[in-house]
Amino acid sequence: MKEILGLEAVTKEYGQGDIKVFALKDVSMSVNQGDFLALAGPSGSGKTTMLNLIGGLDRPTHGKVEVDGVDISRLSGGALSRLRLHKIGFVFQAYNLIPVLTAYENAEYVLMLQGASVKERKRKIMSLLKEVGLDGKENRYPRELSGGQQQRVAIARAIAAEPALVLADEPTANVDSKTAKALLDLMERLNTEKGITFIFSTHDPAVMDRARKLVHLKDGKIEEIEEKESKTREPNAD
Amino acid sequence: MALSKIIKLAWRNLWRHKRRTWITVSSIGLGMAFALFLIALGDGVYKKLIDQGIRLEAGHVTLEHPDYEKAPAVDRYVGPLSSISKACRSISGVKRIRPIIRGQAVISTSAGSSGVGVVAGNPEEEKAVSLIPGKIVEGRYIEKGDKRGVVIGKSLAKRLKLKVGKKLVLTTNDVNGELVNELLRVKGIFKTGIEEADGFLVQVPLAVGRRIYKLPDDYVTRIGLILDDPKDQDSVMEAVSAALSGKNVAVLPWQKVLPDLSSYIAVDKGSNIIFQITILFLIGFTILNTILMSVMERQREFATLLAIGTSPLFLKAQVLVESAFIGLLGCVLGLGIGGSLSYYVEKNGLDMSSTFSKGTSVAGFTIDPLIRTDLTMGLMLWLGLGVFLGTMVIGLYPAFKSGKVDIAQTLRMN
Repeated sequence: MKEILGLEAVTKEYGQGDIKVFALKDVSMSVNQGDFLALAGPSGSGKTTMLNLIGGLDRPTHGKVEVDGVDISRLSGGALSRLRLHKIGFVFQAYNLIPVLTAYENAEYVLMLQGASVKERKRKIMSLLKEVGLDGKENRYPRELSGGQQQRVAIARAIAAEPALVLADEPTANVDSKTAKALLDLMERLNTEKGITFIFSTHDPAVMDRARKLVHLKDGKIEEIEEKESKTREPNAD
Repeated sequence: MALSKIIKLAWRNLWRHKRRTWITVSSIGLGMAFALFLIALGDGVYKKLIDQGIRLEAGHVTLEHPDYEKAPAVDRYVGPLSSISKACRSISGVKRIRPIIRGQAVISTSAGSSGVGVVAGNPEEEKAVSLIPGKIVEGRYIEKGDKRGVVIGKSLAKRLKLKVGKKLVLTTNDVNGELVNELLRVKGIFKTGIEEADGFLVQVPLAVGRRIYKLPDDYVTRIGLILDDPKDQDSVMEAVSAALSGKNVAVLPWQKVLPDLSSYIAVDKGSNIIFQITILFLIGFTILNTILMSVMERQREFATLLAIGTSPLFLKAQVLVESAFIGLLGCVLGLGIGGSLSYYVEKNGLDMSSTFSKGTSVAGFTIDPLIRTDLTMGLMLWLGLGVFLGTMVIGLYPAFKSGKVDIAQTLRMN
């Protein structure tokens, strides 16, 4: 299976002079296309830092982060921005939808940035919203949607541009267990049916159970990588 | 495509906090309306003063002997009037040509004597231009055929106990320096409200003036040009100077002929501009505060937008468009309120008699207590454009800030 992400001796340290705090220390791992991977660990273990580095939202102090064959640690701000637009989807714990845009417009936003035509955007987003279970709710603003529905919009936004991987930072932390299960079902279905690579952080054992690859982090280091039975299909493989 | 999204986002963001947006738009609008009204009011007062001035002196542009300004005397005359008139009449923007003879004299009656300024003009032309024909309170204005007719000011008449039909003796020096006496009869008494005119001015027909001062035929001391639009003054002066090159004629703007009035207007305008800039400066801070606050409270949103691939330029453009909307709405409100108020005062006047004491004057000219604004399209466009561009400039800093969000740090903090 194609390697979609590679981390090579990645270190992220904060602070100046003698006072330094290591958020990640000498971390190396790889992720294949179609993986459904969870970064697990307690608070402060480096989950969010790792997601930020993978997503190009932050730069490593040392080491190399490669996304789809591109060393993103060396990219300029503009190039990073373009890479995020085309190759990475984000799902945030607090949904982070744009409050002045409707569900449809939130999901459409990335496609608009990519320059897709109105017709193409409409076709794709209507189908996506249906897929994530928001059929008929496209004209609702985020404030008119429940937490679970907002997170579904966020997932639709993340996968609209067909990115190489989707990063989700504690995607179920703000919803109840029933909604969390439904969201995990959705992400798992998108992963198995469409072959979308998901990397999500969590410290919820119920969520960890659903991951097929589990990376345990502790104090900024990988403690263990746990591989489970693969259910993932190759993209477009029938 | 992206532009339409920027505009849509900016417009919707504007109305997230309706009250705050309205307060800002109202601040711009009211400040601008206030500034527009004050400028239009000032321009209206200046226009009236200038109008009074040129009607009493000669015109927007004055043609006279090059040495007349240094030492006004009747022996410094210009002409021939017919050829100068012909040259000026062909120049676009010249509405009227007003030949006058100005001189000094002493008039005497049995009640006493007084030094006066004599203005001799063509009665038909003066009726169209001068203030005096419309201010006759007793008798009538002079006519072309009046061989000895004179109109005098109300204060002068009172001082010398003159009435319509009474005689007076005018004593002066002619162009040769000879002392001359002329018996004249009062045809009318005028009251302009301008003390310099009512107390010290007499008007006679042009032919009478020429006879008294013994000026050669077709020569006068001043030729005033009344313009269709005073704003064309510079271009008309240029054309007149070119047309009269080679002739011994000085072409002067009204500012040179009425230096006191011109200085007063310049000083008053200067202080008004400082006041208006202060108002606009305060408005500027309100705009900066609003836009900056709106940017600072959306840091998380900007971080999200940047995270999902929005370019910093797109965000900056969005914030700038929000500023543009605020500026545009403020301008529309300001021009609407200020324009309507100014238009109303232009048409109906604003009675300031309770504020101005009777006879309040500047540079020798009495201010009419019924003041009117002078609202022009140019003023509205200039002010509107200025405020709009000012808003855009103020919006640059918040726009710059919006694209400089530390994505990881902001998302982590939230």
